[in-house]
Amino acid sequence: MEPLENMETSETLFPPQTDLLMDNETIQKIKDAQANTKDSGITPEALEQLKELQRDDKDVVREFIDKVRDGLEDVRDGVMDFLGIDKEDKEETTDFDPDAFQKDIESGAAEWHEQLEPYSCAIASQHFIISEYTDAPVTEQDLIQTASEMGWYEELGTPMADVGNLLLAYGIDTTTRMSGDFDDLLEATANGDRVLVSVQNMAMTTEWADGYPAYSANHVVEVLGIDKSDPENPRVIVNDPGIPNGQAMSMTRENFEDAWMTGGGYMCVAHRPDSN
Amino acid sequence: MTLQELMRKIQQDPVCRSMLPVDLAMLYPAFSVKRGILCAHILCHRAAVKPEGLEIWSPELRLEIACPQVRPISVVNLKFDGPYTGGTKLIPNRSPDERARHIETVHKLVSLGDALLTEWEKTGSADLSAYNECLKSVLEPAQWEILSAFVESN
Repeated sequence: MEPLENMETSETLFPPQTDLLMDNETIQKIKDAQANTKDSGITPEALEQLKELQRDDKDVVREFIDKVRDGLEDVRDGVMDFLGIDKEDKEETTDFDPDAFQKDIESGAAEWHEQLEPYSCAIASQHFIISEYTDAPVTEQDLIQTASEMGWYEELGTPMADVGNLLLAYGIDTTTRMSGDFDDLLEATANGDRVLVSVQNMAMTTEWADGYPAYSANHVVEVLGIDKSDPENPRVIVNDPGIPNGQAMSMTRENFEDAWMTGGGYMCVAHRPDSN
Repeated sequence: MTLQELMRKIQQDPVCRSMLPVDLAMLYPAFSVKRGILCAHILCHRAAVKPEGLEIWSPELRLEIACPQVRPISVVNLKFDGPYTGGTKLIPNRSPDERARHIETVHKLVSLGDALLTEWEKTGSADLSAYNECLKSVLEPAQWEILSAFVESN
């Protein structure tokens, strides 16, 4: 495959006069990743996509980066080399230990509670994570107060763009993807991280999803992990603050994805403080 | 672009993400043409699944989006500027036959929406009436009443 530097220069791909949102450092990382990988590269199709991007749209650029990452496994390995992550460590995470998994789920489930207000699902879900990751003696009511003061929680709830802000405020690093997929979720949870996802509550139950003329996410839940006891039929374990029986709720992959994809696959990975 | 892709892109638009609470569900849009631009009019409301049915709130926000570019035109809080009535309505659980009919109609709506957007992208024009009529048949009367003002004024 043709190396990147022979196909286009960064100046060609990202004319200086445009509002650069994929900076030179990012481009260099992709090039370095490629240099670390034999017989790999960015495909012409991916380059075509890149050219078509509207560079004033940060989220579209992020989405493109996701696609490159997801579609080119070799490049991902190169990035891991670049970042100094041992590939063997990654492979080890694919081994499923039911006992360790159960213990981990119980730890996350212990933080579950029902949301205090009709529109506070995002705050409750962040509260689960803050309580599990930190020693902060904070209640959901405290977080509602903080979010209200900061403009992250208003009359109708949490704006989509502000989901995850409370985590950052409590020192928890996050990675947000606008269009994640199940592999992203597998990877994040295999690393021991909890994940906030936006879902449609109607599709979570399947009863109303296809017969009511709505199509969007309208709820935030915490993904605790993915149960791979039966590798052919993985189940997603979520803490849902919106329903009385939402503690460590188990769902089929299909059911979960049905609810998740209405919002385009939004995910906010909350990295454990000691995982880096 | 399909209708559901449009809905997903709206949720990923930076302006919409900063304005739209994550707790509100978006109904499928009504379409109109304004100054040669295809506009999607979308109501957002809260919905909760109850054992006895689906509880829906009065629409809280109305979005107007230029399509297919997904450019926000306006986000209106209906409590301040619109026919906000407050309160909730319970749509009782449906029988299997009723549910099948509703699912079939929503699937038809999505197909009509896909065709409309495809036609618009190809030719810059499209017949909106079949889609909007189908939408009217699946929305609650109070929901359609809000949207009809925009559809019928064009």
